[in-house]
Amino acid sequence: MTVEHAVSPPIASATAPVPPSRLATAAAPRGPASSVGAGPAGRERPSRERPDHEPWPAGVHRIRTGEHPPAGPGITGPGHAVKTVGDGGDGGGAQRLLAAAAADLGSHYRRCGPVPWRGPGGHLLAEIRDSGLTGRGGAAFPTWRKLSAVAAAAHPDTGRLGGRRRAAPGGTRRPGTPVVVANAAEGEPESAKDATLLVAAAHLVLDGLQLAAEAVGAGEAYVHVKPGAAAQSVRRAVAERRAAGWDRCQIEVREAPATFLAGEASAVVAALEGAPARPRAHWRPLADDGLHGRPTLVHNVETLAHLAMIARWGAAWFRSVGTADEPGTLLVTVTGTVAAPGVVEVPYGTPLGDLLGLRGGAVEPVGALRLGGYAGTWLPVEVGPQVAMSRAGLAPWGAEPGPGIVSVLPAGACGLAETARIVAYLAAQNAGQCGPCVSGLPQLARSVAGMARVAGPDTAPDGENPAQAASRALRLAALVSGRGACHHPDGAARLVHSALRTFAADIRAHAQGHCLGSAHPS
Amino acid sequence: MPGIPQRRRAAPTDAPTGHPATTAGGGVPAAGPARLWIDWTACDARGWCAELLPELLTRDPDGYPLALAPGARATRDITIPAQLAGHARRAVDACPRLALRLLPPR
Repeated sequence: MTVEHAVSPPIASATAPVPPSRLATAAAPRGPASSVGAGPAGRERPSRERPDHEPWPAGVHRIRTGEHPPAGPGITGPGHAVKTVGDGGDGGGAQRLLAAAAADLGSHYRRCGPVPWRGPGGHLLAEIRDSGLTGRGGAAFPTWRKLSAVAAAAHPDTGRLGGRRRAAPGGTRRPGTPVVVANAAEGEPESAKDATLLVAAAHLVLDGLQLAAEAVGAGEAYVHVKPGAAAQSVRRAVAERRAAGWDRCQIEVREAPATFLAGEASAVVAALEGAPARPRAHWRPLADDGLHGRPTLVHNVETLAHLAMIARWGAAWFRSVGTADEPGTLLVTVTGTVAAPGVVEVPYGTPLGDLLGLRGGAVEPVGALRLGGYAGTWLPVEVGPQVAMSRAGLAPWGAEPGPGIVSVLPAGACGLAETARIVAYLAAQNAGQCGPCVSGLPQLARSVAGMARVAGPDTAPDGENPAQAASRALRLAALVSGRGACHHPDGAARLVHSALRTFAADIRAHAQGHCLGSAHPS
Repeated sequence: MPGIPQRRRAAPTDAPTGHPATTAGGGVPAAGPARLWIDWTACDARGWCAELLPELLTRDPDGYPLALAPGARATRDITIPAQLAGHARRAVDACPRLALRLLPPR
């Protein structure tokens, strides 16, 4: 491999790396709202009757049939094409992580330069705090808080940056050397962003892992990655870096099992300890008591890639796109009935219509959207394509970007049937540990399946009709929420709550013996 | 064993008991209420906690403890008012699965 660049000092300013935003803006002028927002804003629709025209696809179809080919050239993830910079996308905004794609360490060095080591102390932490970077695994927790919690747990006398210290219970416990983990287990079946990022820019992620390790004084680093192309890419990258002497902290690559909960942070720690990858009940945060009791930092790989970018280009650069409260870009997996399902990188605040347009737009009338994957939230199509992909933009609908997934349900499908399928999957994927979840999720799945059935002559006279099933589902969803070692039951409950809101007309129709989606011809 | 008073096994705790040496936070008495944390992986629906803390806990149809306060489920930990601290302490000690723990205030 071409690693001579790696060991030499920075060569010349002629090869100095250019911030990717400049590359991106040169290729694709910003200003998505003006170019795509042709569709009318969300109109009030009283119910989900079959619309002959509806607000969603208007702005979206224009792009699909327009001059831009939906699938750009460039990196292909596992089964997903990726929009790369300069492929003519008219509304992509900033391509940052994906613009830093590099096939090997040599090209990564030419693109991004050496690892910007900051030395021990809180220099990087302050930069990350100023950048406003939040975790991209779904919870959107401020990244610097996690970093400083681990640093403080490892060095209790120096205290944590800008936060309060908590005396270690027990007093005499020795915290041990911190551990950092890059989490790409990506148990969410609809998500492809972590694998796509690792295939495209594994070195950027590993730079972020190294910088996080330096910031907290970690002694070892792990990459917990689902098997496949992403794992191969990481292994290749780690071997290259080892040969080049690029890293300061040893990186070990471990493959995650293909279960929904394998990416939960405490399940990651359990897997790294050699135990089954199941969430653990932990009353102390992993930052205090993680892998073998050591302070442990588990970050999503996308978070680490952003961290590596911020370390290079600074907090002000990071904040130059996105919104003031939610700066930067995020990777979004677009799935469902779109022309080219795959991963896009957009600034926070990008309208959902533009986001779908980047993947070619919807190929048939849209019935509903689901934000955040299987444990996400249904959005009725009435919310319109102008809704911003951000926590602030989605909050009025009780939704959030979560791990960056937008799923498009065609109007011809039954949202209740889809919800029943997902809840059954979530029930089957429970870890079998916590009573309320073990007994509650299968019951919840049966209730949702009852909602998805269309009442008809073959319904038993004493059988539960869809409306009764809905009220039972509501009760069960409230009962499982918050009652587990992890947030798995909460996610299932959230999805069911949003389905009851979004598909209320469908439930009425099912109770009356017909279905609004063509999946159940009545 | 006859003649020797049996000491009851006490579950581990990190909650303030009022005694300076055992108060979390290094001797400063904690101001806010303690929290009851449930290890759901250990809980086996024995129901002693709901028996001893009826002000805060009931049981769901399967027998698992269920917080009565509607907001308590969202926060995961159940807030213990000061006047119930003793009862909570007893519930923690009584749990046959050692699934309860009193946590110091946030």
